[in-house]
Amino acid sequence: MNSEYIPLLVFAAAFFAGTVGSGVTATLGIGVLLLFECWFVYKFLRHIYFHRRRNLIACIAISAAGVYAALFPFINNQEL
Amino acid sequence: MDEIQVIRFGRLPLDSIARFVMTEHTAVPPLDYWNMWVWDKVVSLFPVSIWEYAYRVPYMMLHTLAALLLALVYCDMIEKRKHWEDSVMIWVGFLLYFFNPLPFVYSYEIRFYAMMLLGAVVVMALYYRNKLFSVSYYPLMVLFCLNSIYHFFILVPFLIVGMLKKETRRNAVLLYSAVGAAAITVVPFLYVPHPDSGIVATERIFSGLSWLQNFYLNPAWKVYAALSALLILCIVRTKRAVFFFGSALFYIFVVVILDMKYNYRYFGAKHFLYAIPAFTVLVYELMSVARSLVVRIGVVCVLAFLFLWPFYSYLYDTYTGKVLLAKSPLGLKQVFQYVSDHSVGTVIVDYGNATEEDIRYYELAISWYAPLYSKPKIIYRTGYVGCRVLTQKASALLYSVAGVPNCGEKSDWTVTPLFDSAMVTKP
Repeated sequence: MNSEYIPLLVFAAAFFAGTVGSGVTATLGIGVLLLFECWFVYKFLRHIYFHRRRNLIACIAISAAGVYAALFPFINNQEL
Repeated sequence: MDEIQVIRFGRLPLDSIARFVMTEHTAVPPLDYWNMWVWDKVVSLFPVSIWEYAYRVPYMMLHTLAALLLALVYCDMIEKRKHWEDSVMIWVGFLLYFFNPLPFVYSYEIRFYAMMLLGAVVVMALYYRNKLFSVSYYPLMVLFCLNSIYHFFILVPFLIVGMLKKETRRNAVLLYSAVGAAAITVVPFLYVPHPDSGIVATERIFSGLSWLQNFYLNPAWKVYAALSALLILCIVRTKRAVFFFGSALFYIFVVVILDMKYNYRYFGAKHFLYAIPAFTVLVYELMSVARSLVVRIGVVCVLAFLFLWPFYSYLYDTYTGKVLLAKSPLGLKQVFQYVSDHSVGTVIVDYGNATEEDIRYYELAISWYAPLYSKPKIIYRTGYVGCRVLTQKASALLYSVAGVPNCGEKSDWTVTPLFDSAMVTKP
């Protein structure tokens, strides 16, 4: 079998364990699904790191953080 | 109130979260609650007074990520240009989506919306890079399906296009199968409460659509401006732009049909939220037609001034308390902070003549905030009798849901208006 399908099979097993399973099976399944999530975040960050415009992208991300930081009083005042 | 429920479900044992979600929250798969299970442990390290902000941080990051990805998509749309032009294009693409009012407002909502929008953006970014049907991204697609059922609909137009092309047909079928299997598994999560027969679905659909129109296209001449832009699109005949326009219309159509079928109790602009990335890409496509950078920036400025800025003045009014929304604070943070600072033993909550449904919401919010700061005794009352109960109790405070209560002449009592509620304290 093509090796690119192996992660897909692992994911499928984790998916069914996490959503349909119970107890330890479900916990393990959900754990693997969350690891997949982390893997894709890592993949994206690595893509950004090697991107030819990475300084600009970092600058934009910092600006966005600045916008949210400036909105701290407003957002923190929003009750849940 | 849904935000409190997300955190509460996120605090359950990991393996039982999905079971509770499928019977308590309408039509939501469990990924957002699993993520909250992790994030809740981080937030608990911070002081309670900033939890409202801390819980929202991951959603803000997701929105920033989505805006960045779309900016890169926009940058790739435009053919060779100078280095500095590249930078300007990325900034323009980023700002246009980042400050789009609806996604921005939902970027600090503790619900699945921010990730749903990121899901839509990821699909579009992969589509532009011809990687949507790459097997290595299938788990990502299915993960987004576990976050929101909207993702199933987001994928439909792309899968159809994939099926039509010979080179992607095989992988599109495989993705169809993966997403289909996920759909079957997710179906039990689609808990829909009993339809409210007292509400006419079509009326709510049209009020929801007119809400959306008022949001971006009010006054009426803006509708004509948008139609003119679409006319330009038809003349230019950019294949991808037409595809994204069709997709956006399909997304709106799906929401309308679903609402007619299930007769959801509430219907509003947020149900169309997932169509916004498609509309944004449409705007990028239109802008990419212009060769001059100045024209492109001019278009963005005009768009921002006409369609985005008016909403921010509306947001500012909600911030200053001139306009109150269902999302407006109830003043419970101040109430329970006061209770903690002054060691108040009893909080009397007077609901006035609030409806049973509103009372349920208030109770949920109170039961969340009360134990965070201190654990006072809570007495719930209806019928504006709070003042009388407050007179009888020592070390007590009155929280009146129905605004400033009429407590007669009590010179030593202090009344603090809290948005549309009020707090009455005595020495």
